[in-house]
Amino acid sequence: MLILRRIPRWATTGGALVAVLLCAGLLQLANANPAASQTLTLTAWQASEDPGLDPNHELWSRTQFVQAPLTAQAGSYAAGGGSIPVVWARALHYNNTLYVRLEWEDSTQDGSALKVEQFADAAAVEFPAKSATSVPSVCMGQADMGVNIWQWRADSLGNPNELYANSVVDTYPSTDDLFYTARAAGNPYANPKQGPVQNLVAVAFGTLSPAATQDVQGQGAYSNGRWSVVFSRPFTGASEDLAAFTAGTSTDIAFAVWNGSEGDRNGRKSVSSFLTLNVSGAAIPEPEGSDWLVLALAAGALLVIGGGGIGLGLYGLREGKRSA
Amino acid sequence: MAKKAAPSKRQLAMVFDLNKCLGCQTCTLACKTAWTTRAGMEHQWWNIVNTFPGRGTPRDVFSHGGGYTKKGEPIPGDFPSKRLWGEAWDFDYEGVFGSNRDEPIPLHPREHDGAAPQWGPNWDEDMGGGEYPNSYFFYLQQICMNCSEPACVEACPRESVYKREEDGIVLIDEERCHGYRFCAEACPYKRIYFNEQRNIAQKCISCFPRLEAGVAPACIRQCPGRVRHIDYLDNADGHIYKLVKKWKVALPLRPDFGVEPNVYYIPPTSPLAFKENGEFDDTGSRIPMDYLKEMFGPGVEQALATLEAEREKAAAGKKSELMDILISRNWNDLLGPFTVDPAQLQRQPVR
Repeated sequence: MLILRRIPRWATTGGALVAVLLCAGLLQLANANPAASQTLTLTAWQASEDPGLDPNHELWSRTQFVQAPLTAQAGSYAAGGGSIPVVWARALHYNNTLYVRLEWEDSTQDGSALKVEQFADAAAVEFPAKSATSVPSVCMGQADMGVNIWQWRADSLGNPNELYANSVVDTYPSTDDLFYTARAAGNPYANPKQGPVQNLVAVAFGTLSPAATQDVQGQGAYSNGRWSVVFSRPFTGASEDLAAFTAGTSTDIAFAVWNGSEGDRNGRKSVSSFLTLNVSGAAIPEPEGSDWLVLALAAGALLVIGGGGIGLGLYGLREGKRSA
Repeated sequence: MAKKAAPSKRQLAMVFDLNKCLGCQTCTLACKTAWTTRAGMEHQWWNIVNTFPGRGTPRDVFSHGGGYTKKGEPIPGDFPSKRLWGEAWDFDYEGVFGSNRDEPIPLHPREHDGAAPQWGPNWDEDMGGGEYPNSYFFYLQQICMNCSEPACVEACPRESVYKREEDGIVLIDEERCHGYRFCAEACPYKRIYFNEQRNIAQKCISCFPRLEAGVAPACIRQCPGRVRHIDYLDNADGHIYKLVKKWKVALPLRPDFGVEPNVYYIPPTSPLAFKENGEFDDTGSRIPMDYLKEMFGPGVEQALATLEAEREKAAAGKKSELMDILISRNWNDLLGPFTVDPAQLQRQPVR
């Protein structure tokens, strides 16, 4: 640390400033927003057309993402997870309907839970209930401040009959829903007619239950070691225990991802803390530097400024040594 | 962990007499036809009878963890894979009965991916242990044990597994179950199945709709060997209390699992072993006592001695309450308070 002390202050300050400028410039070029988790804001921009449920819709590639760090869930039994470190989130709205797109890396596509030893990949977004007066606990909410969770499961893509494709069944005694007891009892996970997304509400650990209205839609796609999933729901929630959105206002949003091949399910998941979800009235901003000329100029300017800064820093270091 | 189960007000219990079971699986089919015939339940055998010493169902049934340590700490369990449980096999009926075949082909079972089965629900039937002429085995009937310390209840983060207050039966709420299978990991007897078509865990329900109508469970009522007794554990005049508490000849299976099961077993007696010279070895049981102690706990030695003494008493023409209970000349005596004939019930038509 002796050497550092001898570097002139102007050189170190200048170098640091240049480094920060360099990082900021690079991040701007990369169209990313990795703000610290406490201040992380996901902006839902006004889309010019309906993005639909296709995770590969062209609109998404023009939408700035937020990189949300995930950690293992350690707050309650069943604790665990943590194998998915980060999720890239984007949000849009069109015609008073919110669209949230999550993307994460997962080298194993666990699209089915057709055997006792298999678990499916899944993802969820969580919002405060409309009735919540403040930010609820990200861990399943609390008694006076509930949360609304939309969960997508990859096994909804699979067909249980695939496992039994070769099986021979003469007849089942009855195919009446009454005898499919879980389905008859109203368990949405047991109903093949239920879409891939569950609309759930919770007010504490262990209270997670299907909402009375199942109006959340979603679709997932897997390619090149990545899942991308789109969730969508109209702004207006059907009841007070569900999330509600208004253009020009903010609410909160949290993410969870389950990695089936790691045995993730229930509390064993990778989770984020709450981010601010800003439902903006503005259109998707054109990414800066999308014009190649601007991009080239910006890169050139950065190189000049950055190079100058590093040069100055080195010069300062050498001068400091000489004066010692 | 989630919450521990609260103790029930009363506890329903069963005693299975291993000395009377002939391994006919009538109980297994009584259960199958009553409860597990629908799609997604093909591989489920809520009641199973396996030969022991043996590997059981699923394979190596007691080696998959679960239950509690002596200090009451949960022991991590694992999932026996579907293949270890044994799939509901397919058969190439088309190949066998097809009209365009020159040569007949045998009706080999196949697993769903076409592979030849490597294990099944009763794969090692009648193999047992020991070597001729000292070979031995017994049949072991297994259903949900309705444990007093049910690990499955504590393992469920959704509180969808619960122990009924009125009779201590452990049930899974199929409305709440999300198919996470923590219960299946926690059960040391591996009596919980996964229904992959409904995405829920399922297991023996002690025929509770029958019990509520005063009818004994199907496996008990249909047992031709009069193996199974049922009653409340606290009924001092009932078979269960007398066999478990008074005579102490009915023992829990694998008490070291720490879950206090409520199915009790009359341990198997066995003939004397032969010495190498062909004479009887009258120093002990042919089934090794260490094995019996592992299965039924340290009380097994005394239980077998009691059974032996009472049997000799009865053989000598004296009255033995214990032998009278085990013989159960009046069939309905096995059924405790659940003697209603299901044929006499008013049945609700299915929709």
